[in-house]
Amino acid sequence: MKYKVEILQDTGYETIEAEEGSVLMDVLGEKGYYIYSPCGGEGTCGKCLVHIRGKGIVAACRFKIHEDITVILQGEREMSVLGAQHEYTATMDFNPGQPALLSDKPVGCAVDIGTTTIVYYFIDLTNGLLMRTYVDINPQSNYGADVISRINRCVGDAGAVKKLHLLLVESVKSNINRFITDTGTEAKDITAINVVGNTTMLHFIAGVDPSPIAFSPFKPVFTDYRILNAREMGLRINAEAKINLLPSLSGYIGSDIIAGLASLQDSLGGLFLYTDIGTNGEVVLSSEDRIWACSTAAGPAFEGANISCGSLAAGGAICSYKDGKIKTIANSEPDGICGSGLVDIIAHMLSGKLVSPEGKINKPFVVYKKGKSRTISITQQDIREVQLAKAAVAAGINILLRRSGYGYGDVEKFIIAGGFGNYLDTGSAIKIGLFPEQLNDKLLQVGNAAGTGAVLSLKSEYFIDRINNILSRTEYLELSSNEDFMEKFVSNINFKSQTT
Amino acid sequence: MDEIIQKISSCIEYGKINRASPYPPGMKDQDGAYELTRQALDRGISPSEILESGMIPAMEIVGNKFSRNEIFVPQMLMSAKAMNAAMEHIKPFFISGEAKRKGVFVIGTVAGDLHDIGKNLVAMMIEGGGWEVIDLGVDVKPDKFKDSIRQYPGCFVGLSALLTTTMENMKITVKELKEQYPHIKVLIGGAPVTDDFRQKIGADFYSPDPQGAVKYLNTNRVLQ
Repeated sequence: MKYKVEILQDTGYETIEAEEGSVLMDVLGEKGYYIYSPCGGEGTCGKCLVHIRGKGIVAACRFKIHEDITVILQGEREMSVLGAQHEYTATMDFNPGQPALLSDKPVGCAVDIGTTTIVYYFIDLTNGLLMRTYVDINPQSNYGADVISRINRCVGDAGAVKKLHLLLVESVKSNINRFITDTGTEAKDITAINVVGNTTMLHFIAGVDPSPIAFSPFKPVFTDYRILNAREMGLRINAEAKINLLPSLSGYIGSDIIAGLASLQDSLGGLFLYTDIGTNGEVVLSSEDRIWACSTAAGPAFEGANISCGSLAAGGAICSYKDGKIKTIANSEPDGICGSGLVDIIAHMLSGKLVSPEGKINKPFVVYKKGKSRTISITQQDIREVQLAKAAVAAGINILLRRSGYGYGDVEKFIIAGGFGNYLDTGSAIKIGLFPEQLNDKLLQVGNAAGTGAVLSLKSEYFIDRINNILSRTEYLELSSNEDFMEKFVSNINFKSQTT
Repeated sequence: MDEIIQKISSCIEYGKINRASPYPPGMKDQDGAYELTRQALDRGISPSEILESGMIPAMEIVGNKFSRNEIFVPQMLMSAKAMNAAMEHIKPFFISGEAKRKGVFVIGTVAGDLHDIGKNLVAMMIEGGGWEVIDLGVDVKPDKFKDSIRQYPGCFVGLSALLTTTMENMKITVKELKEQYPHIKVLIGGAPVTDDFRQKIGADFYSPDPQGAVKYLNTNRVLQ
């Protein structure tokens, strides 16, 4: 019995045949499709992920073909984001603790709640293997693009807190159901849910009003490790399963950042910068003993908001632009510009002197003409939004260095975490001044480190020790009351980098 | 117009603070607003003339360029700094009464909000427009605004908020001020603020840029 395997790739598609029960990785390998598999198909590294239409992300080395399937091979960049593993990922012995004892076939769910997207990782707690990865749009998005506008809905309105809480619970429920349907896992086998996210999202999932985060002195209701009861939240999973919210540092440095830092190898050592630019742009400077962290109001410009033709990183979004050559996500007709595309386009405009170092353009820059009715272009206001966002990040880096007493020369690595950071062309990012050019050869894109941290917390009950260690060493700098911030911010607004 | 006043005007327009300042590169090693204002006064030009023919028109050009998106925050800030440098020499004459300001403008970022970049720019542009500015800083509670209103009768009040959450405090502040001082004119601004919001909360004026506020003050000062 033979089945059809349709392979879709950025560069085109092909249909091949496969024997009943054959392993997907072998089938792909025979046809010359290279699947990165450092463990050699042992099923232990979880890096050979491919997307099967209707089934989600699977490990190619473990997947046996029993029907006609469509495989979507993602570009290298997509893979590294979802892969949730990296050569710089900390290695920890598999030691899942209590949740592994609650069922014969225990499965843990790691959740990374971002302001814009939510990522779910389902982990087999008998062996630590990644079973499925799902990405969902944060259903709160209708309530504002950033945390502040969502908090705003809640000021003096307990009903809104409840509503936003329930939206997140619904997302968790539906992704658990999807997993159950896809894999035939029983609900009672899901024995733990570990959650990372920015502090506001953690408040929402806990059903706690996050309003205090938005007002001086920006003190959240909680930052500590919180355990919620899955049943009380309406999740029909294992009766003893707990929902663990990993601890945060402050109102604007959430468990996503702390878990991301904890997911990095100890051998990274030395002095390194870490940033995760999403709807907020958190920046961390880590030395062997002390750690400094701040959150910059990078704004949601890089998530497509406030940009005239801006779009989320979804199908049809222009994600790359090189010498006039457009690339979109899923190769469909351009429909908008997502963060990485925006950075590329502005870098292109700077190279071609279509925008002055001060950010002035003479006329909107047409990126793509969509029929007669619509053009996708960059306006003067778009450039201003990007200037404000990139200046905030660059100033954050300046402030951390100044506070710590280190200079660019002392920084050994600059770790770029998160979806946007991973799709981003670092050359373009340096060109527009988002990252300092002094750190050009030190940049390292590690994918969704926050998600990796959440996964590690399921795989090892000792991961929390790493998190607590980081929390105990970290000093939080509030930029809105920082005297140097205005000066650094303003001197980074122009495109030509001015500060050291 | 006197050539030196023309020069002061260009220094402010292009952000040349003093001789030592390297910015803008095209005016390197030339006297800046600071030196030229001193020289003009020493030559016997009246402080009012320097203010009205040199400084205020220059800041107006800068404000309009910003409104038209031709220049951005850093350039406007450099111009404001040059204006401040010139103002150092003019300030003593306000005290002696030889030079006059158009009125008093009290400004602050509302309670709960610590952002001051936008507020500072507005304050500097309004000062450059010939007004005395009382800057109450950030996280300003309604009572503090009221104290200033008592101290400077007839003043205008400007409220800034950067966060959608603190816009609520802007609303509360406007309400409290208007209740106690119905004739006071309140101007509001900040990234999330709109004219719709202004109407809703009963403030008197909203402008998306500093120059709008300067124009409003200049047109409305006689009315108060």
